[in-house]
Amino acid sequence: MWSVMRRLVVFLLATVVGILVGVVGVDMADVRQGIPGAHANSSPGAGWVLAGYQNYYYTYYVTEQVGTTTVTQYLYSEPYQDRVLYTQESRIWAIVWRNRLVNSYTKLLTYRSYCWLNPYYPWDMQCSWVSEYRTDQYYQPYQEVLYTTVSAPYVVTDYRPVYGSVQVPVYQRVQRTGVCSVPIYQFVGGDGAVTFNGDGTFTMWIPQSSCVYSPYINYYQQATVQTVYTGQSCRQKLNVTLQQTSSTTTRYLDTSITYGVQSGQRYQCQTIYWPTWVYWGSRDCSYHASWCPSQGYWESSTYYSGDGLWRYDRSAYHHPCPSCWVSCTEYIYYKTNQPVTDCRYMPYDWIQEYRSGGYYTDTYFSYSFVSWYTTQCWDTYALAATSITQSEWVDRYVPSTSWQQMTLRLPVMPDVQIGVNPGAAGLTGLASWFWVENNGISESQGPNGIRVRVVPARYDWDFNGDGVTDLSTTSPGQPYPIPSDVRYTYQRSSASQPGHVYRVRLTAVYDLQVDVGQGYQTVGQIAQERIRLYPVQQLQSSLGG
Amino acid sequence: MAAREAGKERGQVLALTAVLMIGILAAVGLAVDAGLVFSARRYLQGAADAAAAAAAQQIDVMAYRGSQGQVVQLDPSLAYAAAVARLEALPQVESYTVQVSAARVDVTVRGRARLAFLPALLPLARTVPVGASAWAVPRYGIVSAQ
Repeated sequence: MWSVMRRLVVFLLATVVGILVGVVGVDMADVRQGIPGAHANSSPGAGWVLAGYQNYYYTYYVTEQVGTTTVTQYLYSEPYQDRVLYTQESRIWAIVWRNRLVNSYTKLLTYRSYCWLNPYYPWDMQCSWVSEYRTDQYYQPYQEVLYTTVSAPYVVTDYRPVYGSVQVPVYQRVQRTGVCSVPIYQFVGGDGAVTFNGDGTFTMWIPQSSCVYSPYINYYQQATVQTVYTGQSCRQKLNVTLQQTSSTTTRYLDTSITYGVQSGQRYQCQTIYWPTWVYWGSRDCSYHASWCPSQGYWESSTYYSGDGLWRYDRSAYHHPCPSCWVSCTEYIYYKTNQPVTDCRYMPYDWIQEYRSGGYYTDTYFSYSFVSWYTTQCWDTYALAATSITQSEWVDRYVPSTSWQQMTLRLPVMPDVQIGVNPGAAGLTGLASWFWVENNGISESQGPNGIRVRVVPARYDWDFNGDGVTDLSTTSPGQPYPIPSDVRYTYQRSSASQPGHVYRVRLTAVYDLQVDVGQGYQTVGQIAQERIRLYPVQQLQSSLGG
Repeated sequence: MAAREAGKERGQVLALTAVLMIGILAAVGLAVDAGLVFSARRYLQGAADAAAAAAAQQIDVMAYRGSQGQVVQLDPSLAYAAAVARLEALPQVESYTVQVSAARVDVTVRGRARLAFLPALLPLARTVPVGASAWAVPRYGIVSAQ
């Protein structure tokens, strides 16, 4: 039972919603039909907006907000010329992740060296060494965006207003009602705008606003667009052929680089200075024997000099008895170092670099889109329109401004005083610090809510009393013990001044501002003058002894 | 007879002239050396005066501002530095003494005067010590210093 009732309720609700949607849809269709040539789409902002097309001509409308009324103007135009333009744009083709080398650290792991003596020259030491390194490399993934260039055609249509002698009617209906708004007061500045009366008051011109009833006749035309007659039309078609090209680029990406110690042999030649005995000379000798052998015999001997550089090869024959004597020949050699080139395969170590990685291919595409381009050639045609001119009286209130003189009372001026340090007497060569005491804004209330105030504008300082402004500043200075930015250093004492004091003159200039309800506005300036007698002494050294 | 008496006194003028020349040379040498001593002392006196005067110009600005210009006293550190800067620039000043108080500066300088003639008689007496002293106080005012 409950389920049947629930279905019934749902059915009824769906029916009501459908009816409402249908009614709204009919209303929107009526709106579209009610405005000839207009399209019921909304457009942001003001200005001419392409609304659509109907009967082969385009319709524009512009809206204008006038007060609380929306004024809509319609204008008709036709397509004038079609052009095909091509645009170049970059589009993201792919996003890939790749690794790139961020940092690399290399450190020495082992170092081994061994030395040996040259077998021919013990004092000649030869060494070989092997170093082992380790390199750590760190990679970081990064995102690379690949772009491709796309050339796309698009149709641009220029529009022109309807030509011919037929005036295109503009439908305009304006209704302005309501009250006028009060304009913002603008005071007249300059000399004579404000007159100070000398009794604590001043006189100025202020505007008085009012609204004046000023009806006027509003003429408007209501136009009716007639049928548009068109002649033969032609069409042109443009077929844009797809052209797609691609190019590939192959790159190698290192992912790791390692190093290792490799051993091998290398054919090397070295020059060895080989010791050689060089024949230097011979010496013949004959001796009488001290004893007599029974038969003769040969005797050979080799001996060296004390420094080892001379070698003597001696062969002697001992003659037998009875003629016993010794005949000998002695060959003398000198020891020299003769160069001998020795070439052989020698052990050789080196650091081998190993790279690992892979190849990848980048593919770039460039192509253009297929597009149809259609144009229409128009014959002459005519527009016929009838317009109805109507008029009506419209109530209008326009703002009116009149100027009146008003005398207001000046606010009590701040009793400014001159502060100085050192206060009793200044010293030549020592900067005296000045400031304005009792400085501030003074305000007073006038009639009808009018407010008047004076605001400090600038300060003119005459430190010497000679009538010449030595310093003009917007800063009032800072009281002692703060070092003031208003300072003056006297070079001479005040002995030559009247009364032996300087007459320090301060002229404080204030802006006179008036608020009649629209905020404060400056209408003039007031100056206030103060004089302070300031002795300045000098310092001398008195000697004795 | 008279001629013979006259012949006895021949040569006395020469001896007298020699004695007088020695006396004159001694007097001249004494005068020159005394002048050198006084000149050196005058120089040291000028140095002491300049140092004391420079030091007496260095007043305590903080105290002057704090008293609204009524207290004028010396800044001891600035005054000492000013006096020393003057004295250190003079090579003839061998030693000095600077004493600074809030109201007075005392400067004593010492040096040596180089003699010209006395070393001919006394080789060890080539220079003699000389000295000078001065004091200064700061004085201030508008029309005339107080």
